[in-house]
Amino acid sequence: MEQAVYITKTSQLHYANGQYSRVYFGCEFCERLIPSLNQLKRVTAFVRKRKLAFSLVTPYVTREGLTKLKGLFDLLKEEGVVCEIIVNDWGVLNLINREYPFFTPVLGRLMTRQEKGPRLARALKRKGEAWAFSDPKDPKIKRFIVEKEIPLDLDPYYKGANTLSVPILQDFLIKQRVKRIEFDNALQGVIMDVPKDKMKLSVYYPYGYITTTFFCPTAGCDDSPKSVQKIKPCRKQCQKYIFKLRHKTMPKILYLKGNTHFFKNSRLPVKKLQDLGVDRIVYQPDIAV
Amino acid sequence: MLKITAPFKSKEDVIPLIEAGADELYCGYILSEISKEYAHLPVFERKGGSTCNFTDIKELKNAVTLAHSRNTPVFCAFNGMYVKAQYTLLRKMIRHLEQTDLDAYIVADMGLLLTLKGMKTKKEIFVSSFVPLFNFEAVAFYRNFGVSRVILDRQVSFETMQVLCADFPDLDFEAFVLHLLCVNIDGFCTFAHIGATARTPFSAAQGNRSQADQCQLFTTFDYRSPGDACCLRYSVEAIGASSGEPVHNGEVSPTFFKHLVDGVECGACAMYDFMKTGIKSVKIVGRQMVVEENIKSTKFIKAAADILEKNKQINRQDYIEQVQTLYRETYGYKKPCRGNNCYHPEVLIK
Repeated sequence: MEQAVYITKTSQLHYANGQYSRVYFGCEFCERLIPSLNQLKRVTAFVRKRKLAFSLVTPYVTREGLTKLKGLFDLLKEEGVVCEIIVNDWGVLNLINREYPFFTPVLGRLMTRQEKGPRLARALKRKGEAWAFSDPKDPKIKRFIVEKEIPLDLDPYYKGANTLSVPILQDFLIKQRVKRIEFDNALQGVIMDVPKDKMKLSVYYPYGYITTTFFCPTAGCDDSPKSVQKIKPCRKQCQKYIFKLRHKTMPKILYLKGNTHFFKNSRLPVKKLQDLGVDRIVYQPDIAV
Repeated sequence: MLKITAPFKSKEDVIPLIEAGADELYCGYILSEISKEYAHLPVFERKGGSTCNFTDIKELKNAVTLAHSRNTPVFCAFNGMYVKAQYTLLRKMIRHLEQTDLDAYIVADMGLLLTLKGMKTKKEIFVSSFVPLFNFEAVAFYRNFGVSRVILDRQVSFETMQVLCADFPDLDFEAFVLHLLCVNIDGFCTFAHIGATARTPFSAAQGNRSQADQCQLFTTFDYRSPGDACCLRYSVEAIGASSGEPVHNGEVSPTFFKHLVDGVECGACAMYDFMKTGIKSVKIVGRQMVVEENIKSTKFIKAAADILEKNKQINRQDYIEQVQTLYRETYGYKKPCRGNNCYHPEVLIK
C-alpha cells in the first residue's frame, strides 16, 4: 500500500518523513489557497531531493483560479516535473488533457459522489427505535415516532458512489486518461465495484470532507460587526481558526475549516480496502485547508 | 426577456402555472415502485417520493401534451447521482420518458448523461445545477456532449455568469431565483438528507379511531434528526489552527446562512443583473411545495420580469425598490430584506 502525505503549505513539509513515498501538495477547496509559484518550487525541490513522488492537488475554480493553475502547470512543465494532478473540477481535467497531456490526471475526492453526512452512519445501523412523548404544548396529545429502517438494498447507494461502481462512467474516465479515483473513508463504510486491472484507488485519512461552499463561513469570523454578505473579503482566517461544531443529533463532531466541513474517521480498514483495490492511503496530518 | 421556469408535479398544475406566467415547466419522474419502496428517501431524485414527482407516466405524458398545447416546453429533472445497482430501474425510467414528448432532461450524473447519449435520445439535455461548473473549461467539457443549457449553481457570481454567457453564445444559461437557498455547493455537498418525518393518522395505523385525536404517529428514518444537518444550530467552539487550543474570544465565530423560517429566499432583485449578464431563464425551486405556493411564486417573478420588460431604461435601484415592495406584498414579509434571505446580497449594497 502506497503511503502519501497531504500538505497544504510549505511549513508542513516536515511531515514528509521517511514513512511516505509520495507528497500531495495544494488545496481542494478554495482557489484563494492555490499555492504560489515560489511555494510550488520549494515543494518540487524538496520531493526531487528526496526522490519522492509528487501530486499537485487542485480545487474547483473560477476563471481566476484557472489562471493561477495554468501558471503552476507551466512551471511544472518547465521544470520537467513528472507528476499527478488531482482534479476536482471537470474544467481542470479538460485543460490538462488538451494542453498538458504529460501530467497524469487523478479524479479527486470531490468528484467521487459519496454520501458522507455522519448521521447516515447511525441510520444505516438500522436500530428501528421507537419513541413516545407528550406534546410539549398540549400534554393530552401523545406523539409516537417510529424509526423506519432504510431498506437493505440501498446499501450500494448509501455506501457507494457513481464513479466507484458505474462501468460506463469508469470507461469514460479511462478515455479521459483518468486511471485513479480517490474517495473518503466514509463512516458508514464503502462499497465499490471498480475493475482492478484498469483503475487504481486512493483513500483519504483520517479527515473526510462533507460539504464546501464559495460562501465561506469563516471569512470575517473575527470581524465585528459581521458582514451580511455571503462572499466576503478574505483575510485567510481559515489559517488561524478551526471550528468544532456539536449538535445533539449529530453523532460526530464536525470540523469547519475555512469554507469546508469535515468529519474525522480514525478507523481505517486497511485489509478490507486493499481487497477492494485500494493501493494508496492519503494521510492528512492536519485538516487539508 | 427572462424566461420563467416553474416546478410542477401534476397535470392539474399545468394551466394555472402557465397563466401565472411560467414560460417553461420542469418536473421529476420516479417509478411508482420506487416511490412506494423508498418513500421520502432521495435515492433516485433529490426530492424524493410521490409528493414531489410524477409516478404515473401516462399522467406525465398528458401533462406534457397539455403544456405543449400552450407552447410551453417541459423538462424532467434527474438531480440524483446513481450507482450501478440503480441502473436497471434508471433505464426503465428513461425508456418511459422517451415515449413522451418531453422536451429535455435535466441531468446531474455523468453516468446518466453518457447513458442518454448511448440511448441516442433526441431530447435536449440540460446540465443540472448539481454539476459544479464555474469556469470556461468546465462548460466547454460539457458542451462536447451536446448539452444545450447549463443551470448554474446558486453560488455563481454575476461576473462568472457574464463571462460564461459571453464565452458560450450557443448555450442557454439559467439561474435560480426563488426558494431554498442552499449555502453549500449542490454538486459537492455530501450531507445525507434522510430525516424527513411523515405523519401517519394514528387510527389508520392502529385501527383505533377513538384515540386518533389524542395520538399522532410519525415515521422517520432517523428520529433523532429533526432537521437537515446543514441547518442545525450547532454549538461552536473555536480553536487555534496551529495551537489546537481553544480561542477564548466570543467574537470569533463563523457566519452560517440557513434556510429562513420567516421569509422566502429570493433573488428577484438580481434579475436586473441577470439581464445584463446574458442569463436566459430563471428557475423557481419548489417541486415539494403545494401548487398554490408555486403559482404565487410564479406570479411574483413574472411581475418582477414585467417591471424590467415595461421599463427597459429603469435604473437598478428603482427596480430593486419596486421588487422589494412586491416581495413584501406577496409574502407578507414585514422586515427589510436582509442578506441572509437573499440569493445575491451584493445587490443590497447601495
